[in-house]
Amino acid sequence: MPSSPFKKILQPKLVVGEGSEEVLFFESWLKHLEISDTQVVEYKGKSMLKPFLAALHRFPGFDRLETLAITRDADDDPVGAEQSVNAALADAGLPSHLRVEIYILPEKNKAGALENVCLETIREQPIETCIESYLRCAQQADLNYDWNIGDAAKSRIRAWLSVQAIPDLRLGEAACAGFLNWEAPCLDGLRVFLKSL
Amino acid sequence: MLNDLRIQNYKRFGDLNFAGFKRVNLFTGKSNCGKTSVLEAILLLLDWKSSADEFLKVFRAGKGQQLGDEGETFWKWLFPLRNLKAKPRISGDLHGIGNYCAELQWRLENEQPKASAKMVLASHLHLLSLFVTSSHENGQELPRQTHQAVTAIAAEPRNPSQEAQDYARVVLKSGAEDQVEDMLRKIDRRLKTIRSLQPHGVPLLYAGIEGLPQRIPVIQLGHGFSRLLTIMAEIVASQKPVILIDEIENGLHHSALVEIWRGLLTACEHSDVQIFATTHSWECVAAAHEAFSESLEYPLAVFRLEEKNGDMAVIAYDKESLEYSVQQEWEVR
Repeated sequence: MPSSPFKKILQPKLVVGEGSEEVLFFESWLKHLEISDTQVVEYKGKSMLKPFLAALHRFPGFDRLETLAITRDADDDPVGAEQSVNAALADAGLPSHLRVEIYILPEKNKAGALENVCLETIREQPIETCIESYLRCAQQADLNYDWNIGDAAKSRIRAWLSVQAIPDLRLGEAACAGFLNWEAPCLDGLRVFLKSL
Repeated sequence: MLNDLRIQNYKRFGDLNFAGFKRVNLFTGKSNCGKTSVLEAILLLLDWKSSADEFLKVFRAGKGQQLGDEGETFWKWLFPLRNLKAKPRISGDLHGIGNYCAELQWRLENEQPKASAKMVLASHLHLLSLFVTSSHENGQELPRQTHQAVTAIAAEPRNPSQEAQDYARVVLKSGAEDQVEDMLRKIDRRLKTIRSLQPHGVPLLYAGIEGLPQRIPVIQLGHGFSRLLTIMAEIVASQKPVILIDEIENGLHHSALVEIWRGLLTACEHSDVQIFATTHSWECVAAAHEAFSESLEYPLAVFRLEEKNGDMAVIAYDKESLEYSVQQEWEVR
């Protein structure tokens, strides 16, 4: 289920994410929240945010856009991630009438990415213990490298995805299929952000 | 080279600004947004010596076409909403010359024409005057040499007999024939030569094509072939520094466009010609970007006309924004 190509500005509010997983994730969640005036688009990787904004600024119908919400993974530097988004915004010179909001994933001042947001929804559930056991076992068996927090989150989320009712989905597809608990309290911050746009 | 352009109170344009023209400049936008009018405005600004008939018919009607009362069917429509009190004004910065301005004024029938009028465009009406000045405020006129001859190529095919006669300019110029033929081989690699011949009463261009028993009139070949021949002949031999082309992609297959742009750029740089062209083709814009990205100076500027709050606005693309838009197959037309 690939995300739809961006051909037209259809709504007055636009959420932009790094890739197609973010698009499917936010589209599913907005649908669940019954928010219909918000469109989701990917900018194809964090290094592409600056040219994305430069091109978006010139996209047909851009002047009809009221709100732009930029999301980005913190990775291991949440402060640097926000600074990077602000620098791209400064370069883009967007019109002053446009409301611009930023959300660094997984949440303010925390390292991580979209996968960490999703992992939070299964925290302290039995499946979390299974995943941790599996990864520990695998590491002790014959894997010999250091995980950073990003890689570990990706491994954990893939382990979780592999035991869903449809086991071969990507994260965004799993979100669309309804495997994520949108009501989890850990999503409160992001939920408030989406509702406030 | 024209560096920038401002069009005020001209036809449907309130105040349009085009900044940062390059060697090749493309105008895009939906049908009826005024792309061709921008070319006309450039013609009016730079080539004020061209005759009224030429200006009227170059993009709107072929030579020999009748428009009835041209005052009513053409000239008054240059004024916004036919408001004859408005003064359509076109100005721009010419490299090495400075700011340059052309203003149209409609004169009442009992009014004497002003001595400073450069040209009475609608000569049969004696009512429309074109003022060419270096500064609108003090009315000071520019030296005569600031006029720039402009080549205009409409979307429709030209008179083939006239084309054949004009081809003599190409033949006369050393190396120009080879340049034109090399370019045309990007469309048809079987091409051997182009010749202007008159075996049946009127001069026509003939192409020698490998495998054909005799030379074939160019009018029998594809529209893209003739069009590229016209464009290249004008670039390499007309000695006019500006070329205006309406719907440049007409008849050209998208697969050949990158190579065509490379060839056009080389010819333009060699002859020091600046191109202003309209296009409806996404592939044409993408191909120009691909071809020109290889150049350090990035000699391409793209301007999309878009309606905003009932008025027309200019959306200018630079290399970065065009690169991303093309990569993502975003709309740029």
